[in-house]
Amino acid sequence: MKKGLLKWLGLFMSAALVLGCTGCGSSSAPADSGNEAPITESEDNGTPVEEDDAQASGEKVTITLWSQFSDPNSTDGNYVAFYNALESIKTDMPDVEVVHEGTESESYKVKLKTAMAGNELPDVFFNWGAGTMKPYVDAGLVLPLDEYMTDDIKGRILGGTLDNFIFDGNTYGYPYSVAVASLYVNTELFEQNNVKVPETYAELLEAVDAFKSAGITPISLGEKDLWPGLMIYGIHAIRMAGATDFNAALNGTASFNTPELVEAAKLVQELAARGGFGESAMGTSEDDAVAAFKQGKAAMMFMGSWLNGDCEADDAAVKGKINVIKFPAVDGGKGTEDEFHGGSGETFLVSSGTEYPAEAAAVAQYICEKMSKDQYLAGSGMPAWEADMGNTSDVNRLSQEIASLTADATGYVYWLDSLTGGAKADTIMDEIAKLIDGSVTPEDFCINLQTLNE
Amino acid sequence: MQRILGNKKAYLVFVLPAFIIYVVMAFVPIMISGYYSVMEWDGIGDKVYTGISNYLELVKDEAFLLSARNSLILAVASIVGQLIPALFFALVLARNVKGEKVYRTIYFIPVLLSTVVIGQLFLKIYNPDYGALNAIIKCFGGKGADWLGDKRFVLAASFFPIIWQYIGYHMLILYTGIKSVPSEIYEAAQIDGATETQMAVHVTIPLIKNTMKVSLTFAVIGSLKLFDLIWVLTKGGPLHASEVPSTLMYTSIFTRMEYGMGSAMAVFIVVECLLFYFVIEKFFKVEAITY
Repeated sequence: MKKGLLKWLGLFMSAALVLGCTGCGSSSAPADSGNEAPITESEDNGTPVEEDDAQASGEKVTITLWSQFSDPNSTDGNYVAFYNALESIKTDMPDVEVVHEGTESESYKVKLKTAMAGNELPDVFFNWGAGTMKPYVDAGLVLPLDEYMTDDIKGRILGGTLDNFIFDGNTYGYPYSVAVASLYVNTELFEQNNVKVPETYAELLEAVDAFKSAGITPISLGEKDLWPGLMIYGIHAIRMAGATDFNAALNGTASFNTPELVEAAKLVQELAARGGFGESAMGTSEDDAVAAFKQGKAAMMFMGSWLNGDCEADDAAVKGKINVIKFPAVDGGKGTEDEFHGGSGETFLVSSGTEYPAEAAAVAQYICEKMSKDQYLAGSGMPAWEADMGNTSDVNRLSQEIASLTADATGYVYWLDSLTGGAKADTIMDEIAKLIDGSVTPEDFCINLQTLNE
Repeated sequence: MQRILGNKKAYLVFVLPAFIIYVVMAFVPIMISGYYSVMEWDGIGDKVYTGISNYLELVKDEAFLLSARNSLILAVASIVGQLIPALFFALVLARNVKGEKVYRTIYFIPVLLSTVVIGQLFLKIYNPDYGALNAIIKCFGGKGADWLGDKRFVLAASFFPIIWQYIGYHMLILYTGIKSVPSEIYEAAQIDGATETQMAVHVTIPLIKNTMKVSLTFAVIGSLKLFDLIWVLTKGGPLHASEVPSTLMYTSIFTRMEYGMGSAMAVFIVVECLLFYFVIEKFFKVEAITY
């Protein structure tokens, strides 16, 4: 009996080993066939063509490209757009061979930093703008693109989308999307519970109370991952202080310790204490928070436009029942409904150590411009480049809705973590977590943030 | 054979490969960390020599002191929670109970599972909405809690799987130790009329002191340098309540981009582990036992 078991175990192990080997084999197989395919094709076409091809490919410039888009099969709008661009660049820029390496977001950040320390950056790489990018610019690791940015190219880029990529008058990246946060509401839950979709902050609080007493999480928040809290605080600060003043506080030219920002912190803390984020926001990850909203277990969520795809996905219980609205204005606040949280801040940078700066810059531009259109069509963010969108009737309903919400936008504040970067971003996230948890007073919160500016 | 053992050069040839790997993979990185720890450096730009200011900041940093305290709590909890059950199971299993091998395998299964798997498993168990733990508590009329999101529970909740996972590991070490005690000694004890408990306390435990020392060292050092399970379960949160030195080191280096500070923490972990190792060596001095 025991021997039999061992035999089976051995068989199982060797099967696993064999399968493992073939697994490796099959992943290398397409690469092989990919290399072989052009040759067989040109053989079919006749010999003269083959010679030309061979010559052309001999001069091909190889551009290495790193991104956080690790999964070619993802349905996330940005991923879809990126892989579309990667595919079409083969035909649109035949002189360039782009070798792409995708790494999942969190590991990507670590990988990039390690590569920078070791001076092993690829020619082109994905990165976030503003504070996240600044140390790289200061260390001279990224190439300014002004030289390659002709007036023609500049003319196609929509206004304001370059702001987070400009340092000391030099532009380091092209935009590819404008992501905006808005309040996602589950209209079905609002109807079932006879709650009015909030137009004022007071109505938002009423809705929170109503859902709380009905046993439904009012606002889904994954505070375990810390950055979702930034968005909740961010929008309150924008509503209370206005985008201009809040931006000034964030970049250190004005104080965090103003009555408006103290009030904003107070509102966030009161919202949390009221049960606005459910009972377990501190231990809920963003994935769980999104899942809860997708399954119709939470009534609202304040999140970036990348949530559109999830809400309209076929596996979402809430498909077709979600609406996006502007986060309501707060009485006594300096900000209006038309000031938004978000903006353009993701890009592809060119390493200053690249052998082919012109080609690398062209690749970065191509991918950004191409992604701008495709990610909009795929239902992610707003486009950052002018383009003929063609038939937009198939575009994600929520994306179209957000496009019309933001049509009259008067101001933007970019994501706080990307804007500030590094230790500053980490401290702000910590402080906001404390604020939501109730372990710091709104007054001390503002004083603590202000120490970052001093 | 005698010729080889007498030849000093032969020693060198055999020791060298391992020695080189050890130096390159362990010793050199530790030294480099030491070098970074006296710098202020964001990992990209220029390093600025700041002397011991990173260390001075470290001992004043509340979050770090809390993390160090957490790791010490874990070390104590590991000794109590791992070694005592492990010793008990090992003593019972080694007495030729029925199904000895089956039990041995079952107890060892958690050790074989990847930490990430265990982490995911417990994330689901602890989930406040659909987790098994809250479901059971609610069955008995309790209210349940947000185990990993509440500062009061998070330490206990995240330490439990860590301790639970390695009971089997220590059990196996101790079991092997017990099995190597010659059976004549037990026969002699039996003839003298010793009961099972008496044999365990007066014969087995004194004879496996060496093995117990190994277990103790592993349990303490493992707790001090723990990273993976905490990272999967809580990432040190909420509000740093479950932070241990290595998770704090990771965020310092990769999130806050404070390489110098992170390296100072790394050096602290190395020194702390060495210190505890020597303390255990000192207090557990046992003469070699020959049967």
